[in-house]
Amino acid sequence: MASEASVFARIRRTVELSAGGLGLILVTGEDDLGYESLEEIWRHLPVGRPVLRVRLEPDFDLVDAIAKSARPDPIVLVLGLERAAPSDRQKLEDAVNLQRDRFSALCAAIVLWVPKSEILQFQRHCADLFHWRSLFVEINAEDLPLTAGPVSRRRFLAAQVGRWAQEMDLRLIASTPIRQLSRWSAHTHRGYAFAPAGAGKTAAFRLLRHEMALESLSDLFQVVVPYFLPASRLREVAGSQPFRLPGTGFPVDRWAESGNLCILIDDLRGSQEEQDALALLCRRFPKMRLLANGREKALALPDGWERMRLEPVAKGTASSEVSVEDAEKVLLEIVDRERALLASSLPMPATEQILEALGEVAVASLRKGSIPADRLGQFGFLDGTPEFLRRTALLVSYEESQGSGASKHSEQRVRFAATPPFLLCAAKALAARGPRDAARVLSASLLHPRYWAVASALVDLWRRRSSWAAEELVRALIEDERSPLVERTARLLGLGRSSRLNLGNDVLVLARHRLESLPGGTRDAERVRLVAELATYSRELDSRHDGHS
Amino acid sequence: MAPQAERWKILFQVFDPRQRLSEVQQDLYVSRPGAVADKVRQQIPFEPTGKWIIAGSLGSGKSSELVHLGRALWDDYTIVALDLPFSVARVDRLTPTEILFLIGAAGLHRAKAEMISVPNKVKDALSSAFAGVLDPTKAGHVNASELLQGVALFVSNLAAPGNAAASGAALGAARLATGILGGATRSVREGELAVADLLGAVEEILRLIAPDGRPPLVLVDGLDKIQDRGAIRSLFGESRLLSQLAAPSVYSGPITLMLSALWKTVGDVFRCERLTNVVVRHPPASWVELDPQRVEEGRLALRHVVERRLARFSLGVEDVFASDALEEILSSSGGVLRDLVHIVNRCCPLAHDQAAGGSSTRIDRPLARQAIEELRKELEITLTGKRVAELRYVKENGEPSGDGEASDDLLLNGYVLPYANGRVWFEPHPLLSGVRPGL
Repeated sequence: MASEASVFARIRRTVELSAGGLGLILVTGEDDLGYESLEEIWRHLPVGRPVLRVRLEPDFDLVDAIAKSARPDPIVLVLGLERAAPSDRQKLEDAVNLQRDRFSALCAAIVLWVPKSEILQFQRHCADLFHWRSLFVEINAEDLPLTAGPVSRRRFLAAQVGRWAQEMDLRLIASTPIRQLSRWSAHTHRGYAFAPAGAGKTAAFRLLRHEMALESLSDLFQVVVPYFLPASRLREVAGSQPFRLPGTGFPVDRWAESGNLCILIDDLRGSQEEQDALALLCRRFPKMRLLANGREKALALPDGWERMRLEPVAKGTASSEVSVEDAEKVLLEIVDRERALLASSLPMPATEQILEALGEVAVASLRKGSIPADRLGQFGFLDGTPEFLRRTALLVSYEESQGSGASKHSEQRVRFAATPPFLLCAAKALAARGPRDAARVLSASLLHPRYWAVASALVDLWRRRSSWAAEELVRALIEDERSPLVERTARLLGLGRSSRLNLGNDVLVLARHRLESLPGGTRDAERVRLVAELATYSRELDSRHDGHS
Repeated sequence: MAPQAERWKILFQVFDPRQRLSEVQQDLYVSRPGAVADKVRQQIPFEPTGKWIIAGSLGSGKSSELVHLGRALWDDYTIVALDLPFSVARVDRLTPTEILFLIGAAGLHRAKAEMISVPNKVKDALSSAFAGVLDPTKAGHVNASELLQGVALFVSNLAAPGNAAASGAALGAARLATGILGGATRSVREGELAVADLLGAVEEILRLIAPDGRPPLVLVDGLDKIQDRGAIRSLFGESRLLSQLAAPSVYSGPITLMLSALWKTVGDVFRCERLTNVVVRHPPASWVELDPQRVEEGRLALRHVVERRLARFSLGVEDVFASDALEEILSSSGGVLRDLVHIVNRCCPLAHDQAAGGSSTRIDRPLARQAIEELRKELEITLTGKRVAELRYVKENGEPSGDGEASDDLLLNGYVLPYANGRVWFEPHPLLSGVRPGL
């Protein structure tokens, strides 16, 4: 809606002018940006005025809370609507609305977070408050600096994952020295990898970015955010105030200061300008990781840098790994060879890339109308592993292709549509590691922002295990006019508008029913297994839910 | 802070869209062309039991019109002016019997203010009559005497001007006592004994407080908060209770009453007056015939609103606005008083920055446009596909489709504005001009 500077400057200005009276500032944005937005607003507030942070809850009296704080003319940052169920939201809004006339007697600047999904309801329930606003701003993710918070980190990381696919030829995968680079980078704070031209340095660094991003997504506590930077832009970045990276649109000072950022610098040439920029970066952000590549072994580097010779993949080795030119065949051969590793999810460099590429192959085939039977067999090994979620992407992509007129009645469609991949995978991750991990699994896998929204909504559903969450999801999915894709996804998941979803795990029950209703003879063994698995998981959820309640 | 910057800080508070004109600020009231208050004032003596509803957009000045009416008739009538938003939490859920009870309670407050003694048996009669219409499941939670304390009046402090702020705080607290109201009564039948008792108790109070030949006049503000069409129909159309009071009564009503179906239903019982917005630009609808003089009159009236507020600080319009800037603001307000105030309010922080930076000391046209753009973006955040489609419909047809939630929402929230010139037409708010193709 507005640039970062103007949003926060406007809030600050309004807060200043309302001193000695009442200022009501409404702030909206994507639902999960509330906390970060208010924290960023807080950073821009004028110093000297006391700040109160309050969270709306049922029976919470905002006016009373401000009075009891005994702080003169405070700035009050109010969260809470974003965490409440829709029915509770109305209660909270009614409660705030009820207090509106008492606001008039206040000397305070109230900054109220209203999730974007709630704006219309807020307008309905708090019509006067809406009209009384001193300011109403929308904050977008790009208005916010990267924080150490999980939400912004995940957003950024998710954008990094998979970018290699647009940037490099798939056939390079098997011939990049990524394994060596990956091992070295794991324990290197500042390092320079050198290799002759054509050794695959750039490709390896791009893949490293992908791997590091995935790894960070896989680990709640690891906060390394990789960023691929051509050395030609080093000077521009090193001197930027505040610290910005090209294309991010937001400052990343705090990430750099805290050591969360790892810049992967591609193709250092050793010019004085580069050396100065590197030295500046090292001084400015001592904790920030810097990994660079280049051709020259004896390149001048700041103190404390490690050097490593990146060995090109030997031609003989490469040819044994890559025996054919066809990228599709290359990938399938790798899959055949590494099946055991993939199926057991053992760490293997480039696993993710291979699987994604495989997914792309499959999607391409699906777009043509069918998948050959032998290829289906090759996908089969994914069942029952965490990588099973790859089929989610296939499914969604396939459904998307339906909209473009591809075949609708293939055996494959039945097979893919019969599988509730989002749910099953999230369920597995949830069972094994908890809801946050389920979110991570989904968000790491689905890549596309639209899928990310679906994924996070689904995990939310699981986390809360209540009917409103399911309804919320349905609403978000179905009523989002801008995204027919998610509508179709919602339909696939059995989340029809009229579904009566009492608990989140009812979705599993729906999925089970869908599987049970499949025509006989359609991969019976798998169907029976999945039905049993879902039923077991439903029971587990039930018992856990009962236990909690 | 530089004096210029300080001035903008003051004006920011002066042009506060939250403030409605209280009776002590009547010097700020500006009569608009064809003012409803004056029209009703002229009709009341000829219709001693008449019932009026003033319907208009949010922020169009309904409350100010009621205050103005009460003030104008203060000497001739005993004014019982019930402020529902200050009295109850959920105006939108009030039932006719609850409103009737609150009118009685307001009458008791008026008596107290006038130091008129009301026998306890009359108060008890009101309480017990109300108890008779309560929903049995909620009756245990209702304390009628507490409810009597929780009622708020407006046009009540003429005798003690200057107490507006204090009374505002007190009234807000008092409303907590009436928190139970809003759907606390059971459904009743017309002519039911309990209802007749309640009506009788209220009539008795109104009779007692007007002993000196000043007949009672009931003003009820706040029913314009009701959004649900069913509730509006039920309150003003299906139930005849509000029309059965002997005293002349004037209610503020929601803008959706202007939709033709409701207008007809309610018009059978009440005299419906449209508080349309001031015409500040020539209507886009080709079928609307309008004397250009009318536009000029409208703009002049709004200019007076600004002038009067500034005059309190010995400031002239030309001290604060470049002439083309104020014209721009008048056009963008759509003739809605609150929006006019809101736009000027938004200009103040920008002007404050400008003054702090040592540049222009007035609101010039670029600055006014910047403030208008801010507000436009705020409205834009709340637009949905359905709302945009409805706005296009209004622009094309000069009236709401009346079809569904989006249509009502736009009317109720002031995105669609009514105007009148013999006949009524509607326009999208000028702030929404150009936010989407076709608008």
